[in-house]
Amino acid sequence: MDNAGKEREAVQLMAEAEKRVKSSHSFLRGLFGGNTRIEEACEMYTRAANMFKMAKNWSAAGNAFCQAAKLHMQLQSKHDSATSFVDAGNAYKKADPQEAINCLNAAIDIYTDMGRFTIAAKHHITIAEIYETELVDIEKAIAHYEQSADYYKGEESNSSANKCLLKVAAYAAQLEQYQKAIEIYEQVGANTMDNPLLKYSAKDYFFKAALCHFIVDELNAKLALEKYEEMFPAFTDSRECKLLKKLLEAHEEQNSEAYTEAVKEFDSISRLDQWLTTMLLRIKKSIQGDGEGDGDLK
Amino acid sequence: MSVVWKFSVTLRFDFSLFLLCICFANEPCTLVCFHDGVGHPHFQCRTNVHISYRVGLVVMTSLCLYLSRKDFISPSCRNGLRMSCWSGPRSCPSRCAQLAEGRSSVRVTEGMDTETYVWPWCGAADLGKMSSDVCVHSWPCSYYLDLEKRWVSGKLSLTPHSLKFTADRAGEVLMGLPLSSVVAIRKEASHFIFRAVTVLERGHVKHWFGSLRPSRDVVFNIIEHFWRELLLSGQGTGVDVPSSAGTRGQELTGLMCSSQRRLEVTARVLHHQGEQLDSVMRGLDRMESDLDVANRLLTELESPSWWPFRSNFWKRAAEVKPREATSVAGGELCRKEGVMVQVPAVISQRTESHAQPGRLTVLVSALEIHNSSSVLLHRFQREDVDDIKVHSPYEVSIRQRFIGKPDVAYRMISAKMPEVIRILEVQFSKKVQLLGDAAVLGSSGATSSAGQSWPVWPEASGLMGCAAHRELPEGGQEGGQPQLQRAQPPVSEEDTQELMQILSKLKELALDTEAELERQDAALDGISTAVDRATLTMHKHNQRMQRLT
Repeated sequence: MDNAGKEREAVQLMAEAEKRVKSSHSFLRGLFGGNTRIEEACEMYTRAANMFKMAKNWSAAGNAFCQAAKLHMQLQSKHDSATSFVDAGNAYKKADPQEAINCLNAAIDIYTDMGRFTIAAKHHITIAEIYETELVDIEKAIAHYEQSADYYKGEESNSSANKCLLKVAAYAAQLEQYQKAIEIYEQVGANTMDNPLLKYSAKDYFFKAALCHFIVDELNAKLALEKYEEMFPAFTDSRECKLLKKLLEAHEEQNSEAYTEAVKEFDSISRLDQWLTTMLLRIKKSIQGDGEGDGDLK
Repeated sequence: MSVVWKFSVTLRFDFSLFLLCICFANEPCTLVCFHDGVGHPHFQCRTNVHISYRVGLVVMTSLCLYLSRKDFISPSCRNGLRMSCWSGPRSCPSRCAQLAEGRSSVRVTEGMDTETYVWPWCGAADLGKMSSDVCVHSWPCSYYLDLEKRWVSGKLSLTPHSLKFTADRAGEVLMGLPLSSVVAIRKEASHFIFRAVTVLERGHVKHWFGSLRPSRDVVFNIIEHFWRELLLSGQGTGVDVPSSAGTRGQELTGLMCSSQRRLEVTARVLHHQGEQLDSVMRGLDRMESDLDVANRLLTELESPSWWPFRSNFWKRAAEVKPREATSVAGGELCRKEGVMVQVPAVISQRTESHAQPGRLTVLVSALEIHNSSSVLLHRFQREDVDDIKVHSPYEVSIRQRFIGKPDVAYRMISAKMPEVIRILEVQFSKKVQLLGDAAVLGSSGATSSAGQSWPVWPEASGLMGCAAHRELPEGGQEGGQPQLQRAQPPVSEEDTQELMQILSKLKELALDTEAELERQDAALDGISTAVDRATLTMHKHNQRMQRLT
């Protein structure tokens, strides 16, 4: 009831705003008066958008914000325009993910133009998340995460960059692009290794890199493990490293029971997350596949 | 749109002819249609949909190869297994050769050339298992059809090795995948409203299951449990025997490890926060220089000036909340009795709407149910248990009646339940009821897993002595039990080593965290003075501007 009222009001506002824009075009084109008219229209669009939002009509709200953003652009106030685009993106996110991405991209263009790379990076992450959850286009999501990692790096906020890169690596591994995943994990591991606060997580990254190596080729995993131990002596003592050694041994003997036992022991102490479960399952499958020798298609 | 290629495809397992047409409308959108022998279009699909591969149903690996296109699809086969095997770009020629002894074939004809590709049901063994396996549980739900963009209602059923969805109407299997190809399971909301469980499969095909009953969380917990069990339980290994489940040393190590992990995360967050504070500081510096410019302009200009700052520029850094690692509430470490079996399980109390992961421990004189953080949910004394119902080899409910009060009942689902049931049957002989199909399946489940669960017994009996165990069901000799635990050393040498190491690491971490916190404190001081200064100057500028206007 109330919502319907809000929506009607919003539609009225939209119509009025449109009229203002038109009138500014028709007689007061280029004059000072035209600009104030457009400013008023802008205001109205924003108000209408907020009302649509209250009525939960997301795509209409997104549309209104978009209009406002375009008018702001006409008025040369880039910052307002970008903010409106972001608002539009947030509204569209709930109804039309593709449109939301377009809006956010427009906002990103403006922000990068203004040199506000951190904000641009943040919106790249939002886009990546939309691709990830709504559209299930992981490759595009990865591209956006990479872009935002680049921006963050440019702005010297390395921990944010690392966060993005780790996402990329996790997805790359899931998509079986192990080489890429390995590179990222090694890079992040090497970066964090010397930081007093972050060095404790470095072992995780090396562990993951080694696991990716393992899926590709056992021998490589061994070499990589040695390399990591040399680079980062604390890795040797970690449970992750011990687990890896056990797994390598089990794999060499094609002993899936020993493998399972080792994994189970590790899991009993700290629970494996989904990513690790997937990767370990892939390795286990390779043991079983070879062991039984049947045509177990990948 | 024109038809570019036509293939006839015979599927030997149902002997009907399919015609495969490939129409190139334009490059990114290629249509592939299948017609059955009579010419009815069976289904069609665009090749730019993301394609992966599902084991257990027909594979069209070679076809895809043959067509030398990147992504392809399979024909549906009509004997109940409708469509569903996607084959990705990863298929390789060597595989076809390898598959030559298969049971079904697909013949591909193009013009005059006829080539027969033979390949089996992919993972015939898997499929065999799928059909023979006991269904653990099934839930009414709806499944999202990607091609047709609609939801179909039906039933999602889980067996220990696979997951499949059967449509209500036609009873056809719309989706089937082995758990081993699952990449991730998530709880999500479709359209931000409808709670759904999504299963991400290899090659990034996402399956949406919506409107799950009794509740999404239950289904999620159970599916995740079985998926993890796939990794954690080999064919050979049976149940966790007490020796591996819980020496005190290991429990301690587990606790320490989790606190270490938390602290690591804290450190990472703290570091991130430190960076943010730095950037705030940089921003403030920039503002200050801007304010200087404004100051100069104000003094120079006697005309109204335009103010370049907006309030939202003043983004204050998030308040620093040093999150110390929360010490994990210790599960009770002092357990007096001997543990016979401990298995991870998904637990629900009475109603099914509150299932949560946890574990079930069968002690000599009691049954204990813990939740995932090792907090004891309930303990059934052995004599208090009124009945144990075995719904299926994987599902058990335990009940204790009270007069004048509601019963205490728990229902548990676990992949390792068959082994537990064997023990329960011995311990609670009369109170165990096999219900419905479980009576049949229970026995078959037990025999089929007899080989696997065998190792339990030597160890279990080694712990408590065969004779004692035989007597327990009759009399419950409580006197003999405290000895059980004493046999194990409380904390082994190895564990102490591990603990030492973790503790020293924890200490280092704590020290480093402290140092970082101090640094941030100093930075915050700097920021607050800078903000104060900036506010003052702004205030002054405002006054001056007012005078100017």
